[in-house]
Amino acid sequence: MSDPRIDRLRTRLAEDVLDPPALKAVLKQLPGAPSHAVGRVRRRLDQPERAPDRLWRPVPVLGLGLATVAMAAVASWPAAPLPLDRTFTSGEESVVADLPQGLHIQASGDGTLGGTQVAPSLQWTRGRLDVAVDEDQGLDLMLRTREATVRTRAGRVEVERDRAGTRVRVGQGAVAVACGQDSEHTLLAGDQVECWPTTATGLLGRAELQATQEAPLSARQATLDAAAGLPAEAAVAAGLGLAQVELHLAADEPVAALDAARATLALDPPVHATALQQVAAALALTEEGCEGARPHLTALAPTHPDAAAALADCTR
Amino acid sequence: MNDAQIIADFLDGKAAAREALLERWLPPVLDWCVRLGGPKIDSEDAAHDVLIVVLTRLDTLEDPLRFRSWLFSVTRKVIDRHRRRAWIRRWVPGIFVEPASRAPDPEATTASARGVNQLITAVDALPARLREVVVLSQVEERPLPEVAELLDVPLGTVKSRLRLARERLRGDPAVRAMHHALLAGELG
Repeated sequence: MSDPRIDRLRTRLAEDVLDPPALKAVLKQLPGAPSHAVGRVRRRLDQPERAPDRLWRPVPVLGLGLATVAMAAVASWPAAPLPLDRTFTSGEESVVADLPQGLHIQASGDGTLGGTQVAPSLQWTRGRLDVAVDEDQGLDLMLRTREATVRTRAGRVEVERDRAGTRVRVGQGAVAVACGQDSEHTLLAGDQVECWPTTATGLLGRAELQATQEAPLSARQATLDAAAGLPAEAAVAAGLGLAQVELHLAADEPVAALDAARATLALDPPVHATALQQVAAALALTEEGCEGARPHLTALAPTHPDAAAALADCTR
Repeated sequence: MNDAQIIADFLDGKAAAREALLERWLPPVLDWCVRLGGPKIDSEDAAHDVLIVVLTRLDTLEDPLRFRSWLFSVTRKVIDRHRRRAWIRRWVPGIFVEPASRAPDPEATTASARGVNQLITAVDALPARLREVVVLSQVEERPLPEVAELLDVPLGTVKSRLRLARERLRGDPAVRAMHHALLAGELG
């Protein structure tokens, strides 16, 4: 006795019927991605930076015929991208025209635009910059300030540079930012980062700006801490010392302020010596009495009658 | 959690939303890249590019309810670009970096033994608009209204494309061979 199911299959095979269900059964054999591929792509996506897009590579050694074809194809490729050369000056906000397709710049400050049509490079010195790179335009934008490096292939980013450093805010897309010598981090829309100056001179500028803006004492102290240990000329070191004295006084820490003043006075050559001696003398008189104040009063006495009078009081 | 909620969370900067988005959509995107991109492109590379676009351009999506069709259109564009590159590479070897070599995987080896490679070639030879309908409706077994939504075309268009695709595939020797192999397998 025959099996009706097998009979039906034999009939279909004999008639070579490929009806929709049969065709669907065939197409179901079309494989999808291997199971481990998802993990591989996932790992690539979790890397901080997008893997480089497909780049040109030297055409490998080929037979003469293939080489001819390759050279013809390469020759027909677009010519080398034209260099860019543009200078921005502060004083007026402007939307920059005549840029490579897909690149948009609104600049208010000082800087230059160089690089090429496909790899524009911005060097930004001061002010505000709003730059956008359209996706799928093949652009690779590099933006540099003294303390930050910003790269994007598709995104919008606002950059502002002043004495406090460089602030980067991502409006759209993904942007790789590196502060100083630190490694790059990818920022997405809404993220922002502030790159501090990386030199003692730059950090002194940041500290002075913070003082005028009456920034929180902890923020001002963090700036001075960042400058500690960096190589600095005497004038810069003295400026940092004065800022530290000022900060301790603002924090109502007279003993620490006196220590900072004395440490700054010990610099060779001395800078801001008179101001520091005055501060040290006043602090020493209140904190240590005549014994502690005497060296500072002695240094000031020849040129400052009030110091000479105080010194006379101390020697009585 | 639906796509719209995940997107809203993602745009709010919640890290978990990125994870949820990739967890949900990376596998189907990768499958699309394999089946629609064909054997000449690096499907993992293409899927990676699709997800990069999605993660960086999600804020441009006006209606989160249309995320799936937007995602598919992004995938389609990326695949088109990779296929164009593959075409150029075919004529000018070495002009682009070759797809990364992958260790032969057991699934592929088995599939090859069963003539699946010929089937892949047959589907790959279909025009893109037919191939999409075949993959979405026949291979992934999505209902036709969902296919229409993904492709952003009327339902009638999906049906007519499916009919055309079936006609072409029925005449393909590789498809018929696979059909016979399946029947023979059923007969034991």
